[in-house]
Amino acid sequence: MNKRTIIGGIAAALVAMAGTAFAQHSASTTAYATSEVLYPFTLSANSATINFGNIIPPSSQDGITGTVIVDMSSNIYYQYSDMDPGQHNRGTVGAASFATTGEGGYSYTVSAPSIVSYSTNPAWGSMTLSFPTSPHLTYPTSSLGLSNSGPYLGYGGFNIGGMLTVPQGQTLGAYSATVSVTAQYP
Amino acid sequence: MKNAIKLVLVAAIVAFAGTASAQNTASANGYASGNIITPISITPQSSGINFGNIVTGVAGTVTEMHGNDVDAPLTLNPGSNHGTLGNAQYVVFGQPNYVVNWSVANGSVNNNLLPSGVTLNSVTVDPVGSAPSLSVANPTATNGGGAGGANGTVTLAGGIAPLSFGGVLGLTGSEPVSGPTGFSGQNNFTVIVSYQ
Repeated sequence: MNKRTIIGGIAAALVAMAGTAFAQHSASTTAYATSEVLYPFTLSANSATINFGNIIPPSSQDGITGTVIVDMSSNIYYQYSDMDPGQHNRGTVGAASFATTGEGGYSYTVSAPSIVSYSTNPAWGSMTLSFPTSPHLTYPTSSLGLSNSGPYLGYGGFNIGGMLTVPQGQTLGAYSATVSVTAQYP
Repeated sequence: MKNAIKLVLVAAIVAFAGTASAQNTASANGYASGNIITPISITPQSSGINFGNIVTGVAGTVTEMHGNDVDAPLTLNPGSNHGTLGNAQYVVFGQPNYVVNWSVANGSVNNNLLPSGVTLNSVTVDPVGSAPSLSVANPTATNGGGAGGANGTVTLAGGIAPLSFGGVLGLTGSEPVSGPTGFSGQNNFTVIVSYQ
């Protein structure tokens, strides 16, 4: 009952009325317009922080910059091993988790996340946050599905990781940024 | 009148369709966080383990632990003529309160540059520096460095931790004399540190 199909009564009336205007000069038939009202698609944050934990800037033996990737499964990858503070010192590491609801059985897609804002203290400088799909997937690139099938409410969810690029000599401190995530029916 | 009705109804349909499609997309904000921490480093503070002068001619071991004492059998001990003694001292720098693994790799103390018959049997460690509470007879953190490597941990209270190493020298009793009062030689070992 939550999914409503409107068998175009209104549209049919329109057609009928329009037909009336020309009833003396043409034949008419009946057409229908249909429309389905779906559950609105919603997206909400479960644990919406991409945690990179503690990171050592790349050393002079590494490149000018080094990357740290947290993938969708919360695995962390350091471009250079000396950027890893060690398992006991990594702190909290993990991907951000989002929940979706919408029309049961429908699929949806996730757009590449975008940066809304960076914290300013300490300044991010040339440190950047991005969302690559290679070598590790940081957001879903394939369609995802909502549970159940219509006309019931469906549930879904996905995780978002990211890649932090850290230059040599990056100022010590805790950094944060706000990320915008968008999902939609395809 | 008919046209007016038609317009109203069409407008209603368009508005209705618009309401449905407006909720195709949803957005939410998330956050990203990361903490840049101090790289780890180790700096030598002394030239290495110095056993001083040892009398040759008998077999035995000489232990250097704290840099100011040597435990050796009387027959190996030159008494007040011991000369310069010292342990190998390092300072480890890094993120305050983090735990650091240190290690002397297996075999790294056996790159023997000492005279034939003299071996550096093991490396002992005083992980909190040359604390006087540690003694050679009852060291609280002694690790053999010759056969299986030596390893342990220190905590970087305040972002810094001293780390010093002593050693045990083994003599066969037939060491060549390279100077008027004993031999001289050198044995290298490498200390590796990393965050735990």
